[in-house]
Amino acid sequence: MEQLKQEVLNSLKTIEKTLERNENLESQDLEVILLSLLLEEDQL
Amino acid sequence: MSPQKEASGVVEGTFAVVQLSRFGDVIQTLQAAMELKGKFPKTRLILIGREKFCRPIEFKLKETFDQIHYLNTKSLVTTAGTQSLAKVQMNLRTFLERINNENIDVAINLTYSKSSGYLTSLIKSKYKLGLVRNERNETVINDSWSQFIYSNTMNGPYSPFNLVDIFKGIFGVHGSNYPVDHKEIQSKKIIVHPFASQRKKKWPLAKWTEIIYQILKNNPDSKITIMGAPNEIEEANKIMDNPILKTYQGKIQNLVGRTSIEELYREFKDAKLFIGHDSMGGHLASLYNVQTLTISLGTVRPYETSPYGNNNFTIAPRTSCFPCFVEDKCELLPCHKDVTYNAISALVNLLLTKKPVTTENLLANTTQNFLDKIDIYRSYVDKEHGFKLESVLHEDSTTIDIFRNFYRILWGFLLSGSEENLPFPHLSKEKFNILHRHLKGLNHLTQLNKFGKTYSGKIIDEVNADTPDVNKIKKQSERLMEIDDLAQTLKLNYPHLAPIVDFYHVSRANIPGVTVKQMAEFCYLSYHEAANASSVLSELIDSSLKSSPLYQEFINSKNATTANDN
Repeated sequence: MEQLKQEVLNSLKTIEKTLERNENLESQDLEVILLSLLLEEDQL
Repeated sequence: MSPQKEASGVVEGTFAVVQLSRFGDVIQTLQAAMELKGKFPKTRLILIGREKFCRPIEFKLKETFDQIHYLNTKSLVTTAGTQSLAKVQMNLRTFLERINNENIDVAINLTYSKSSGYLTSLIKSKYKLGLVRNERNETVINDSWSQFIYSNTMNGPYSPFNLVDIFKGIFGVHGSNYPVDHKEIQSKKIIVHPFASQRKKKWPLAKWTEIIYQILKNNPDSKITIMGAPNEIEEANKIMDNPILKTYQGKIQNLVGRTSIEELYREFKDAKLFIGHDSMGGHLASLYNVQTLTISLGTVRPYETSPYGNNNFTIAPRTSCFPCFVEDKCELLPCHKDVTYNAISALVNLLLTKKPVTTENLLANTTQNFLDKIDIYRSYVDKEHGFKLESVLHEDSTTIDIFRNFYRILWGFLLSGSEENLPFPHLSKEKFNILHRHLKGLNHLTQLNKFGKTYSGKIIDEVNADTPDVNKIKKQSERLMEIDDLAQTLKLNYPHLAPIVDFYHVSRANIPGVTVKQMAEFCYLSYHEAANASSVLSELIDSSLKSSPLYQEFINSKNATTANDN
C-alpha cells in the first residue's frame, strides 16, 4: 500500500506540473486524482 | 436550451446517477429516482454508488434502478496483486468500462464529494449534470439546480427545498406522485435509532434513555425496538443496562448490530412510529411510509433532510447558532440542551394517542418554557410543489423563515417554472424594518446587475467591431469583476440577500462558451436573469410590507418626517 501511495503522490506531482504548464489533463490523469481521493476518503 | 432542459428531454434514454454518499443520501436519491421512473417508465436508470452504502439496500434499489455499479476502493486496490499504480488503474478502467458500455445519455453527479466529480468526468455520456471536472481540472456545473445546491444547500439556513425535491429538479421532474401517506397501524411499536454519524447531530445516551423510559411509562401498551449498526452495539448496551429501564426490559427489543438493513426494513411493517436523529433510519422509515419524528441537531437543516412524507415531525432547537457548519468547533453543544426529553415525550404521547399536535395539547405534558426553545415542524407533501415544513408552535416566523419562503417562491419559479402561493408573513415592527431595509439592498443589487449587463454588452460590441480593441475588452472585464466584488460586499450589509448573490456568482463562474463573444453573451444573460430575480424578490418583499397592518403607520411616519423636513 505504501508503494502505491508513493506512486500516486509522484503522479500527482507530474499532474501539477502539467497544469502549471497550462496543458490539458488526460483521462489517465483524472483517474490518478480519483484514486488518490478514494484512498483518502476510504482511509486506506 | 439549458443543459438541464436538453438532458431532461431524454426521457427514454439511459440516466446514470452517481451517488457516493452514505445510506441516507442513497435513500433520498432512490426516492427522487422513483418519481422519475414513475413519470418516465421507459427511462433506463443506472446507479453508481459505494458498495458499503448501496449493497445493503440493494433489495429496494433494484425495484427502481435497472443496473447498479458498486464502487469498492479496497477491492480496486487489493485485486491488483502487487498494488502497483498501473494495476490499480487497470482495475479502475475495467470498472469504468463496464459503466461506459451502458451507452449513457445523461450522467448525473448527486454527491458533494470531490471524488464523485472526477468519477462523473470519466463517465462517457452525451450530457452531464451536477459538478464535474474539465481537462483543466476546473469544476464545471452546467445545470441550474446543481448550481443551486453548490450555492445554497449546506451554505446557510435559507434553502427551502428537501434534497429529494432538489434531486428531482436535477432529473427534470417536479412535484410528488408516489404515496407519501402513512399506513394505518394499530400496534404501538416504536422503532428508535438513538445514534448518528456525527457527535454534533447526536444526543447523549442519557437523554435517549429518559425518552424511552417516558414513552413506556406513559403508554403502557407501547413497545420499543432499538435499531443500529454493529459499531453502535456498545452504546445500545449502555441504554439497555440503565437501571431506570430495568422494569421495562420485556418491552424493549434491542436489534442493534443484529440485523441486516433488509431485515430491519421488514421491522417497519408493523411499526407505528420511528424516532431518531437525521440519519438513515428516518429515511428508511419514510420509504415504508412509517411516521417519523426526527430530532435535528448541530449541522442538520430540517428543510433539506427531514424524511420525505406527509405528517412527519421534526424537532429543532431555536438556539441562535443552529444550524452550524461541519467545520465549526463546538464543545458545549448548546443546541442539544435546548431540546428536552420532556418536550419530545409530550409530542410522542400526542402522536401515539392520535391527538392533534397543538401547543395547547402539548402543554398538557410539558411547559411553555421548554416549547419556547424549540421548533416543531410538521411535513406536508404537495403534489405540485413537493415537500414543505409547517411550524406547529410559532405563528410568528423568524426573519430567516420569512426569507426562506420568499426564496421558495423565487427559486421554484426560476428553476422549475412553478408558481407557488404562500401566505404573507406576520410582521413585527422589527421584521418590518429588516424587510424594508433589504429592499434598499435589492435596489443596489439590481443596479449592479444592470451595470453588469452594460459592461457585458460593451464587450459584445467591441468583439463585433471591425478591429476589436483588446484593452477595451480587458477594461470592461475588470469592471465586471468589480461588480462581482461589490455584490459580495453587499452581502455583509444585507445578509438575507446572500442566497441570490451566491447563486448568480456560481452561475457566472460556470458560464458556457469558448470564445470571448460567447462568454460575454452568457454573462449578459446571467446579469439579466439576476436583475429579474432581484426584481421578483423586491416585489415579494414589497407586497408583504403592504399587506402588513404596520404599513399605514410606516407611511404616516414617513409623511410626517417629510413634512417636518419641509
